[in-house]
Amino acid sequence: MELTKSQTQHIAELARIKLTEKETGKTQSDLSTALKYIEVLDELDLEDIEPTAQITRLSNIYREDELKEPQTLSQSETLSNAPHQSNGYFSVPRVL
Amino acid sequence: MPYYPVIGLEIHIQLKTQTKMFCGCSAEIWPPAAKALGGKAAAPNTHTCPTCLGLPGALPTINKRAVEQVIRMGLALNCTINQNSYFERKNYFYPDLPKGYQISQHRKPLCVNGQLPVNGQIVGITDVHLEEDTGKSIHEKLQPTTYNLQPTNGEHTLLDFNKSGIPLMEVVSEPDIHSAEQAVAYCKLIQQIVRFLGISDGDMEKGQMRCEVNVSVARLASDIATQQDSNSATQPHSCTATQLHSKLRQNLPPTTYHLPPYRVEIKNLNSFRFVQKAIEYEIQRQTEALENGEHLIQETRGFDEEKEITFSQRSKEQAHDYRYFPEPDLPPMKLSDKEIERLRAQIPELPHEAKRRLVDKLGLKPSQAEIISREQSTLSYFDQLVKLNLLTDKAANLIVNQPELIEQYSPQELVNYLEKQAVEQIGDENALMQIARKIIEANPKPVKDYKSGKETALQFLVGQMMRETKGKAEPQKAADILKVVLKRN
Ligand SMILES: [Zn+2]
Repeated sequence: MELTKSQTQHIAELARIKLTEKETGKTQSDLSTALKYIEVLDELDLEDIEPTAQITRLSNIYREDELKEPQTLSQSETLSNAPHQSNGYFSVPRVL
Repeated sequence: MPYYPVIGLEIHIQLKTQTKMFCGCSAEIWPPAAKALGGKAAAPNTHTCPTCLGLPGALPTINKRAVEQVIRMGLALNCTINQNSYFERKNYFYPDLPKGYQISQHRKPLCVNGQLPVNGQIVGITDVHLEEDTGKSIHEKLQPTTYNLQPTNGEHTLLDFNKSGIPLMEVVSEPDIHSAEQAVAYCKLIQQIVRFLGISDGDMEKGQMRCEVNVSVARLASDIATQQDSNSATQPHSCTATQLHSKLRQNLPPTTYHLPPYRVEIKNLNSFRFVQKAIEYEIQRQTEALENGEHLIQETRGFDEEKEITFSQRSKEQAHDYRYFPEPDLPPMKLSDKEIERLRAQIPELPHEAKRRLVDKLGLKPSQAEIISREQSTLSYFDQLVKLNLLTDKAANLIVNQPELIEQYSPQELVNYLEKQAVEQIGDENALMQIARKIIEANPKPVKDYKSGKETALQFLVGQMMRETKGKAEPQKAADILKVVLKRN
């Protein structure tokens, strides 16, 4: 499948990646090639096959709702890698 | 031309668990000690770990209790349980969502296709699913001095991830609601049900329950037909507001209507009053717009809590594109019939069921039943009074009219108290009888006057009774007793 330019731009926006005109063209053709590569799978007859979401064959792996040995960090540890902080909060450019 | 409101609700409810949905952090972000001191939340970013902060490499694990709570809610809403259910990633960017995706459910939610009777009308439940809450954003302009290093001029969003990862249940209704009142009744019932199930406190002020409404207005198919037949725009309404209302009461569709091609979404309504006001405003706004020949668009609107109006949130974001896919870090959930039945057995009588029992089986007035079934503690108090052989009407009246007694006594104590009171009353009557006899004996003249028809003479005798009892007797009661004794005399 050949991606259109607007599809490419849409994907870039969803990923919050800014593309120049030139980069958009290159990404469009790169992604199209990648899609074509896996298109071979379309040849398989999957009529009666349930989509696979997991290959571990595990199910029902639960954690009991008990407070024991939580990995909880202190406030200063939590904020230790924050580029900006204020009074115990992370601080980011205003979004609203 | 009447328009027919078409309303659906999405209600988010934080579940009451000890730990978060996908990590072992404490979910108690309103510490009980602080609650007593005025309900202060925990200090920001103190209930956080690599998982709920979305740090690379951290892996989620599923909180079993949260899954069970959602299944119990689904069963309470007559849903079918998806026996093969799983979590998916809902991808979007927002600062309060540190992973860049929310673990949620999309294709196989835990519960689907339910229904709930609300004031005698059925509201369809599309699904009940489980996800994780996001962090909390505070948009404030603060003094630049309180920051270390600022990317913009004091315009900041502050983030607290304490609530990130708290189990969040979403109840999605079908667009089966047709008035603001019915929407509020539905929200209230959902709140009562989660409280009866003990799965959430549903405290809206604390954000434990958040409502989102989808509103549009439809024209009735009959109206459209009438208009086309007569080829005239001045045709009288084929269904008046009153007729419409009565049809709704009977739970009949008001003739058919076409689902409108747009809907307006209003998010984050955190009180029943706001749900009511936002819907009323939208119905009016949309009706007027359509009557003026305007074209309504699909949009998300905000609600101005002060002005009680909705406003367009012009956002540059294009149509949602969440690119859901199964969460690879979490194995699917397979729910056996046995497990489902075990959870079903844990569901108590629900408020709407209790209300029906109180009216149909015990003969209470709907208004009494409404008050008694609102809270589980009140309902169980009432049931205990009835078990202790108090008449249902007497028990209902006590609960409705004398909440101070309910507060003060246990059901058994209250019954004892009422018995004692009755005995004392009888004792009082006996004492008053004796006094009345004494006074009648001592005052032959007024007695004779009264017997010969002078009603006013009784007043004198009542006065004597009051004096004798030092004013403790009730005048009306004293008069009644005097009359009884005079008749026998
Ligand atoms: Zn955590």
